[in-house]
Amino acid sequence: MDIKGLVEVKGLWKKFGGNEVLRGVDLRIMDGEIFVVIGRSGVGKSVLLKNLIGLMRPDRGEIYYKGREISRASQREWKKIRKEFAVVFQHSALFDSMNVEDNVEFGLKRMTRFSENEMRRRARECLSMVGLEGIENMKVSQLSGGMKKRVAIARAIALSPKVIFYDEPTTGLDPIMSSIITELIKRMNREVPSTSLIITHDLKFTFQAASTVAMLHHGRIIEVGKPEEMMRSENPIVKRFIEGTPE
Amino acid sequence: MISGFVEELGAIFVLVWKAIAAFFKGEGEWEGIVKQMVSIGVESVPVVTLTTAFSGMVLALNSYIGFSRLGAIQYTGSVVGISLVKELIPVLTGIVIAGRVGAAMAAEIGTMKVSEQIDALYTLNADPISYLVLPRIIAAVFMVPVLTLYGDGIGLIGAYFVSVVLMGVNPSSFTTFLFMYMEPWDIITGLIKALSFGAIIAAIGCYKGISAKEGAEGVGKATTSSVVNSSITILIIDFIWGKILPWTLRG
Ligand SMILES: Nc1ncnc2c1ncn2[C@@H]1O[C@H](COP(=O)(O)OP(=O)(O)OP(=O)(O)O)[C@@H](O)[C@H]1O
Ligand SMILES: [Mg+2]
Repeated sequence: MDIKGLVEVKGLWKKFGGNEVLRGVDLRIMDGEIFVVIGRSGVGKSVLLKNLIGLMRPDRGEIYYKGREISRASQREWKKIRKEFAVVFQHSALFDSMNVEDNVEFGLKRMTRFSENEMRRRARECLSMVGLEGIENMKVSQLSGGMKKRVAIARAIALSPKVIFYDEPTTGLDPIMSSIITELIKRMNREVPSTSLIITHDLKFTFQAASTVAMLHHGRIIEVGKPEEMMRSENPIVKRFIEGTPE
Repeated sequence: MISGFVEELGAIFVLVWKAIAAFFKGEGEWEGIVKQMVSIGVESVPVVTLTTAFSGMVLALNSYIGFSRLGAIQYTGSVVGISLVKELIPVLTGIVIAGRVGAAMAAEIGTMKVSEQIDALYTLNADPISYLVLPRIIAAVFMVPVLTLYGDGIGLIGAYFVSVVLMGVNPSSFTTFLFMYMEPWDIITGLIKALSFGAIIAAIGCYKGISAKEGAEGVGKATTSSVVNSSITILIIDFIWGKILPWTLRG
């Protein structure tokens, strides 16, 4: 078996009771790319993501990271893997008991030996990378949705991760904030530098940011390709999804 | 319904077990514990003061009426003291804290659950058990007995006030009989109970929060059921303690 991708998924199955959500998902994500998984609501995109980041265990199949199988790794091994993985959650998932700076420093505190000063400097650096300055002491509840998303990205990049996972990064944002986040994700991919795996149903985002697109449907990946290839796809399901025509 | 209850009880034990394991593996994260102690302890003082003062007063009033019919009002202090420190104050303090603190734990952790903050903790290598559950259990196990001891004092002052000041029981006979019949062991019994109530409140509050279902409704349900469940459990455990404590620890 040859594993060429930085992250590679082979025959992933996941069911809940009788609900087979993932039925043999295969993915190959190459180093440095922006890989976008699209699919309709409820198709299992978040479940796929949770399997990839170790929040759920697959029933069957393998997940490789740097050539190593990780889905059955021990808690201790996951602690190491997580230093190289970062996640930006759909609703940002900032800790609302802390201010902005403590949120960004949270991972640094437990995964580095940085001094207080080094942490503060790094937090400020990350916040300025996402275009936020001078908000270190603000409470999470005082932030708008777009600001929360950017703070979540700042928190994610603080540890210079190898892979950044995003769950619906543009959902619920206004069109302008959406574009800002799209550009930010592309910039983070270059500047951190990292590989990005994004799940979304936002096509505008997908065609602006993706280097590779995969479509998840009925528990399987039914088509993979460059954005222009997806646009020209002959697959009726992909076509319908892109055109937005109901059944 | 019964199987659901047993399942839930099992899940709560698993949670507590994991917390104990984390404690002995030295994985506890204590940065939040002072805040927890303050929120459980200091912030509960007003409500505990009111509850225990009035229960002391009411109990004294009724005992006085009873004893006056027997023509033995000087005994008021003895019965009131034992009932307060062994039963009433620990149970009432427990139930009041369940309403204040257990509910807050369920709501806070439940909100974290449905807004993916618990997932975020995992991905940032913070185990929610060591980071959220363990400090809450420890803080509650420590603070509920402290509040109970404080409540004992307030309850007795309330009882003294009603008996002596309002009803005219002789002050020295009130205190003499109070201390003649109330033993340190009665107070300790109450504190042991309080300690277990603290564990129950925090374990149920955290469990309900962690298992909260999507949406604001899920958090609401988690909050309400944490209060109902821990209040009932406190009453049941209090009864069980009443049966066990006399013969296990006293011989
Ligand atoms: N923990 C769980 N237990 C049981 N079923 C679950 C669980 N998580 C997800 N599911 C089910 O898996 C299916 C896919 O859910 P998922 O959240 O992955 O969809 P999605 O593609 O992310 O949708 P959306 O675009 O709306 O976020 C749904 O039918 C959901 O009910
Ligand atoms: Mg989703």
